[in-house]
Amino acid sequence: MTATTMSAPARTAPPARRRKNRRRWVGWWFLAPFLAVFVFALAAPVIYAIYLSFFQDRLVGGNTFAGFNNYVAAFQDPKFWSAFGRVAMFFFVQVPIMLGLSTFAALALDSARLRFRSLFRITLFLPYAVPSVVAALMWGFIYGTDFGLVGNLNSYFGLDLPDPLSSDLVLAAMGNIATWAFLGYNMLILYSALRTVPKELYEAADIDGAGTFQVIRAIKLPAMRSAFVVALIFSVIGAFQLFNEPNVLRTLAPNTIATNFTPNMYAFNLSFAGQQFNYAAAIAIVMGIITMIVAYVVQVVGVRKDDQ
Amino acid sequence: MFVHSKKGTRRLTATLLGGSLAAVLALTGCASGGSGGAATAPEVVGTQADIDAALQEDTTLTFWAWGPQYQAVVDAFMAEYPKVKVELTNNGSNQTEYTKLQNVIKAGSGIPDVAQIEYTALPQFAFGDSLVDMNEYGVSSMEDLYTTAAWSQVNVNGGIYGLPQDTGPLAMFYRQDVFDQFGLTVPTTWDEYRAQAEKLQAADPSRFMAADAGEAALTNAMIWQAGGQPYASDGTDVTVDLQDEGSLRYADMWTPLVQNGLVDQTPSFTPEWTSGLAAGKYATWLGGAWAAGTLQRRIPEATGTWRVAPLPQYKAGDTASGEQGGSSSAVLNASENALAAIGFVQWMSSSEEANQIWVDNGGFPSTTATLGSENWLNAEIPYFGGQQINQVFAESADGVLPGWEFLPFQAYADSVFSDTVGQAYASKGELAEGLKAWQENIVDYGNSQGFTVNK
Repeated sequence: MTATTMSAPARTAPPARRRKNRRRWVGWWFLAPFLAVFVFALAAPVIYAIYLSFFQDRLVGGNTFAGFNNYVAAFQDPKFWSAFGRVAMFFFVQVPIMLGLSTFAALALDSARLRFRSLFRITLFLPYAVPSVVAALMWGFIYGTDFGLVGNLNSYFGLDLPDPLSSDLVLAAMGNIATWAFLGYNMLILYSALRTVPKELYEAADIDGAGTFQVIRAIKLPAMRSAFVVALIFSVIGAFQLFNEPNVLRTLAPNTIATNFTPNMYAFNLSFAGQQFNYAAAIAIVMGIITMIVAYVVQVVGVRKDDQ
Repeated sequence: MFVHSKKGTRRLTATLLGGSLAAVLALTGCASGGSGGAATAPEVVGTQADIDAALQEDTTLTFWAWGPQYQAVVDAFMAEYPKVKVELTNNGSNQTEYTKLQNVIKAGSGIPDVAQIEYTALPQFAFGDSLVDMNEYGVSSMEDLYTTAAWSQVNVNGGIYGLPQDTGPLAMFYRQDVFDQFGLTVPTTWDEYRAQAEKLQAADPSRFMAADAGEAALTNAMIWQAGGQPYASDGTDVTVDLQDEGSLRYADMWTPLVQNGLVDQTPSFTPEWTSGLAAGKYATWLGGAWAAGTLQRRIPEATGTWRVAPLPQYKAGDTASGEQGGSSSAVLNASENALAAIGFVQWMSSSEEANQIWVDNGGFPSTTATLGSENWLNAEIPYFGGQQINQVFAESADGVLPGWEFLPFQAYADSVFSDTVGQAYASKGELAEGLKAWQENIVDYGNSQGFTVNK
């Protein structure tokens, strides 16, 4: 506000205007380092992908402009939509379980009834520090019915556990890996929101004679709401971009994890095995837009609830 | 020893020189003759004399490969031709190399002079106009140096796009101890193979005749042995018929083994698979001759338990075989040192010295000279209980059926194998149905890429 009132009189004085213009230029120079990184690292790859998606480079006939053909093909491609359906199902089943557990863990951490709180916190968070490829490899060994932990359990206890990598269970097996990896991360987001609740609120609740569960319902859960929306958005992105887990487990179960198991895997296989970079770019952009829409809806719905 | 082999190489180069000059003369003679011969005779870009001269000039060649034998071969080459420096880059595996190669070719820079390329991938790179047609340098005279199967696989649409380095004639590796324990006999036909598989499974349900999760390379090789020729191409006209007689013969033979759980669906080269091979969980392994080296490297503790036998046959007394794996050395079109690069490839592929290093390091040869040498044939390999395994492989190499071709987009086709044929494995259904689905996928892809497939 002050800036506009100060520059208003300058409009009538020409020499001052030149000074103002120069001032604006200087501002851009300050922005330049950020802009350079932004343009080259963020905007350029997206623009290039969009550019690629409008062409078709074939093994015979070379590169031609394809207009929206790749997008039309993507919308009619059952392989793409089955992959999308799979990650959507993953999202609707895995994310509620994970966020429910994260909420429980955050409340437990905050309850002050927990011994060895910091140990508990670091232990739950630690899997997040394991690179996801390593995590998937490790779980791949655990899931092995001959060589792995499942196999050992079967032989020591005479059990007949089902193969976690069979087609019925493989998605659940991946959900388990993702829950293991991200539970602690989401717990920290929610827990940090709880830490910002002013003590006075709890004191007031105490004076009013509220019990533990009333405190959780009336104070803690509402306080976590905006953090919850953030965690949910991260989970939307994570679920829709599922790639490392299926791609690593695929070497162990090539017949149950198809090359179009998730949209990202489909795009990956299209470009690196089939050299269909253009179509893969279109798939990636469609998937990116869908992810943005879902994330936006989550945010709008979450914020609206916040206002109520 | 060193001096001796050096002489041998010189002699070989001299023969090559003479032979190729004769061939070039013959070809040019044919071309000047006029009528229809000109269309088939390749344009002569360089002669063997040019190649030999190029090897005596200061040159640096870049070479991409992943085989463990190449460094020793390259070192020997540089000792022989001190003016040529070869920089070897090991890309780790075939797939990583192909992806990198595709990328640099697309980018138009950073392209190596020479690359190791498997026979399966050779048509794809040849078709993309990325490789030098060595026919233009008169290498066709080298044909007699190699097995027919090896030579036919570097021949794509009449051009020679690489020189054979190794081959993978199929054989049956089996566990002598498991066979003894369960009283199994070494099968010579596929009927017997299945009977032994049933016997083994009945005696011990935790053991299997083989591990097979359904893999494109092995399936192609097995279809090859069954007499199938599912792929053919002439320029951009491609035919795919995975329902031909040989393909169906293989599918009908193998389906019961999958359906009855006689083969274990553990993918190869996983930890589970390796531990299974080591523990005698799998009584046999059907694979290319290179598998002998793989076994020795991966499970050295199993020394003395493995043996090698010819692949079982569809008809008793036959000696039909196919190939799994095997690679060539190709010169890239972008190379500025094509002459020296071809000279290097010729030496690496055909000289006695290079082939000796190759087999000493567990590689399988493709030259008839090495395949026929007494030393190599009669070598008793301790790992295989002193068996002369190379005789089995040489016999298999002889029996490789002629006429096999790969697709100009085999890499893509192989990548969707598990999505189609793999589903037949997973559901224990009919492999023929899986092959049909695979074919549909291949046809769609080929047509969308501008080829004319099955039209």
